[in-house]
Amino acid sequence: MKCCKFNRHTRAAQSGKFAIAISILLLGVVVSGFLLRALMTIPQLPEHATVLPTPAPLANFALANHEDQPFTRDSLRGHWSMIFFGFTNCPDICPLTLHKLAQARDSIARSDPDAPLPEIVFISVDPDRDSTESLKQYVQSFGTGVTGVRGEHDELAKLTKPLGIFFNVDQTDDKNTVVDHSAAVIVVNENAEFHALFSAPHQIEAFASDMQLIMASK
Amino acid sequence: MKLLVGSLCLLLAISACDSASGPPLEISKVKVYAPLPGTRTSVAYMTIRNNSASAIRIGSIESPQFDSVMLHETRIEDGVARMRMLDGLEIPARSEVFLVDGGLHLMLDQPAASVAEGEPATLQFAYDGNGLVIVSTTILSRFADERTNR
Repeated sequence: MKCCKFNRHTRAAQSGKFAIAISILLLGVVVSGFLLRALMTIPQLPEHATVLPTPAPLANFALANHEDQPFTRDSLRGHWSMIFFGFTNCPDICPLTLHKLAQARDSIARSDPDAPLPEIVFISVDPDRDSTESLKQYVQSFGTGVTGVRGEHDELAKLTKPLGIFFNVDQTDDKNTVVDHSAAVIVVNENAEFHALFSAPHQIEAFASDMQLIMASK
Repeated sequence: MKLLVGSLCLLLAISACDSASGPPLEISKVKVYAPLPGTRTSVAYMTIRNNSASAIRIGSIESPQFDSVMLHETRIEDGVARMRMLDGLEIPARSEVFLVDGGLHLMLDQPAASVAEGEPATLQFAYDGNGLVIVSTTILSRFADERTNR
């Protein structure tokens, strides 16, 4: 009898432990589900671009595009833009950056044919040497969707200063002109607001993946 | 006698080693690009190897296809792209220097009318007083393989 009473108590104790184990297991499954759901709903963030906490409206400016048509703040409304400042006689970093931007635009189009495509805007900081015609030929060599822009330095500064974009043109002699300029790519949203920036060095994949996230997050 | 033979062998071994390592200055992987439309400047990239036991200084570079060939370096300093002309390039002994996009490069200015993709180009590198290396290549079209049309 003692033996059987002992067994009953043991079985009861084992049942209790089993119930606790099942409860813990169920709780674990429920918590994991919540965590997984929470993780899946966390939006992906751009890895390379710096996104402004609050987009900043651009100041107005009056420049001209490569068709010699006015290019103002309103020209940037209604679509996303990736803006790079440089000059056409720059043999290295300017064409490389424009090429990477064009490739990134193409990559976005390939990965999602319905995705909005950012306009690529190349703004010359060397308007004395970059004529409208040379600018037109130059930007068109990078494919469609690239706009060339030029204008006098005073007018250009209305756009560049608030963006923190630097440029300096120094004619050292009759043959040599030294042009320094910021290497950043500025992202402007469809409301003509300064939204984000990419710092150099630039990569095609970084432009493409981050721009898709940035444009989708708005 | 043994010492003399030994010294002679050592001398021959050093000579063989030097001749086997090729000319003092070797220039390879040369890419000369045609200017992009609307521009009068272009760029060339390459690898320059010094096979000798002492440093070599390239003083000037010329090309019959361009009025001016300048050795340039692009640097990004505090977010600003600065391109500066160098008055020469020293290649340390038994070392390679790479002229690549975004760094050291040759800026080719004011091309002759004949400069176009598929046409020949020649670069002449003068070094250490009398040294001269002449490289001939074919002009390439920049980004031609990857250009987007969308």
